[in-house]
Amino acid sequence: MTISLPVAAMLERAARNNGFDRELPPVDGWLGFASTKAPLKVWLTVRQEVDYVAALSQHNVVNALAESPWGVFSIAMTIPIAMLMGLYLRFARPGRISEVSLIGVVLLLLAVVAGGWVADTEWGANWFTLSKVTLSWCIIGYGLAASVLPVWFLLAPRDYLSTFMKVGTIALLAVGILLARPVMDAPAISQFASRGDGPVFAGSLFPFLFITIACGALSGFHALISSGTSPKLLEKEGQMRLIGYGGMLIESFVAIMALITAAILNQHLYFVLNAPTAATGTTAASAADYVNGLGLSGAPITPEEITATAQSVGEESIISRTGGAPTLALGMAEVLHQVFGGASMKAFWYHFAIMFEALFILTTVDAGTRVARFMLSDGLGNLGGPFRRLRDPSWRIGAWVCSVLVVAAWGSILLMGVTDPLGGINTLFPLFGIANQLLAAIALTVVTVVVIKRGLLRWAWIPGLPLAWDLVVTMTASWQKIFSADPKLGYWKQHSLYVAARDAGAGSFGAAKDPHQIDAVIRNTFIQGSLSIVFAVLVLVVVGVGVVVAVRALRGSGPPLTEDPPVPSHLFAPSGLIPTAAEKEVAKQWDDYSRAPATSRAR
Amino acid sequence: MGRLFARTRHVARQIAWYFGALMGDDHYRRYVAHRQRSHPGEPVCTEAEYWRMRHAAADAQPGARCC
Repeated sequence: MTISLPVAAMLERAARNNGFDRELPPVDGWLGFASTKAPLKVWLTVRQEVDYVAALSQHNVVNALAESPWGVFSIAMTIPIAMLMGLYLRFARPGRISEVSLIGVVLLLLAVVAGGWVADTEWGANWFTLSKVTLSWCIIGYGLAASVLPVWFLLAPRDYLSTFMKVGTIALLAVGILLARPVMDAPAISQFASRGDGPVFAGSLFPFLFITIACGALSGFHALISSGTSPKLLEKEGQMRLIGYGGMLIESFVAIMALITAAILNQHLYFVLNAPTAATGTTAASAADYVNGLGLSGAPITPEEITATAQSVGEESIISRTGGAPTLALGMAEVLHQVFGGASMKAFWYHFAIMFEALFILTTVDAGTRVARFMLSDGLGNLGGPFRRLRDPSWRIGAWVCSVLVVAAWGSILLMGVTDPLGGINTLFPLFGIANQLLAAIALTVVTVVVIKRGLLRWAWIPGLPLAWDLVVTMTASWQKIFSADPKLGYWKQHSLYVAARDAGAGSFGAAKDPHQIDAVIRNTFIQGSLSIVFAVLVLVVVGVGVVVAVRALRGSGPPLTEDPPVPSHLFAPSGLIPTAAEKEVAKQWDDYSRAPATSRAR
Repeated sequence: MGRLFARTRHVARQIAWYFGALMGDDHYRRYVAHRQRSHPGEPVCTEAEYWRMRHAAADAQPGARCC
């Protein structure tokens, strides 16, 4: 649903311009800052890129790689490997993408194996054992370099490598799960489901189950991005259904496998990995005490078992490795070592999985920085005067300045989050899920309005129904987050409790251990509470405008659709993945026809 | 035996074709076909020139992309 409907709407508006804002003109004028020069879309994208990059790097790269020389070495090696691939494609064999990707993957596997050897040596451990702060600076440096280096040298070959790795690893994991047939350790319904006090996330199933970033189900981020990218995958309009629904199914397929790898882990181990440091402490003994006190089913875990698990994957510690990446890596190692290689290969598979995930995230870091840099220079260029030169993206000084500005924006959030458990992206992370679903409500509103404007009122329920459900969910969640009297849920309730504690001169309160942390919680809850209100109001405004535009269209008084005229196709291609017999026949005729020299064709 | 061999070769070719199309090996060939169809008689650039052009375009316009 997320992907196909916006694709259908946007395809009509030509692939290069996902004119989200054109169908709801007043929204753009009201919400865009600097009049119409920096429209809603630009603001949303830059803002989102910055937060997304900071959040992903912290949660998936920094948390997984800190104090892990093996992981750091293998991921660092992906950069020279990509550059080698870039040189090969540029100067040796242009266009041989599968060939260079295969070479790259072999080198990458070597790098993962070599990481184990390097981490065992003294110099290797010295060089590649990095703190979270050093790692953050490395990622910041990488983001800056990727934004100013030519695409062919780093970005394009890295994309080939990660495409290959994504497809290959997911296929490998699917085969592994089928062969290993692991047993689910998690209960069908968690005890936290009804109580709503889970250690990772508090709140009842409704509405918070539906406020997750579920890429295959409903995701505003994917709606925005795919409306620009999916049309580029189509040769003909007839292939739209295959690409749209196919993309959705593949996303869900990946999600189901991630769920399986999390659910087969020992439950106690799962919470050792995913509960925050404040709960687990930092030693195996305190972590074991904490998870054994949660009242989970199954045998309690001993500190020795926690240490043994860490050692089996070649790590010093696995306590509070939050963010999801280490959990997925541990689950993948669990599945894959049973099928390929036995116990001695478990550490290899763990680091293979970590490397695979970091490759994903670094792709977001470099591409995100680049996109945000272009958006920024375009936005600034429109201010006119001396800024006009920024409109030319090949102007080196401008490229550097804008890259530094963008990197500074997400880099500072990243560093704040890494050094202060209550600051930086940790402030914004709880808002990610709901912001994403609110963005989805905006996308569904636009689609519903387009459907109505095209005179297809009897089909408006198709996007309208999910829109109504999404609004019910997000508005209930926003309401609870803003007005709930339960301090675990309501930002403002939490805010007022901490303000009262500060005014009473308390030395520590709740999760805050000292007055400085009390101030941090007061600041964070203020930001979170305010943003929750702003987000919810923005969405209500957009939906309101959508209703007005739709009613006008029904009365026949609204402006016409801003649709490009249809272009008749000049080529033949089957509309499905597997061509029908008739399509095969036509495809053969078409091939013969296009091979014939142009002069001999009957016109 | 001969039929089995031919069948295997056919399937292997199909997989190689699918894989190449997925990774982008056939982009230049498709571009050439497009030029011949839409601009017959005009010169077509070499494969190295084509990829330089592609990367220069990506350099100038990053566009929206997925995670």
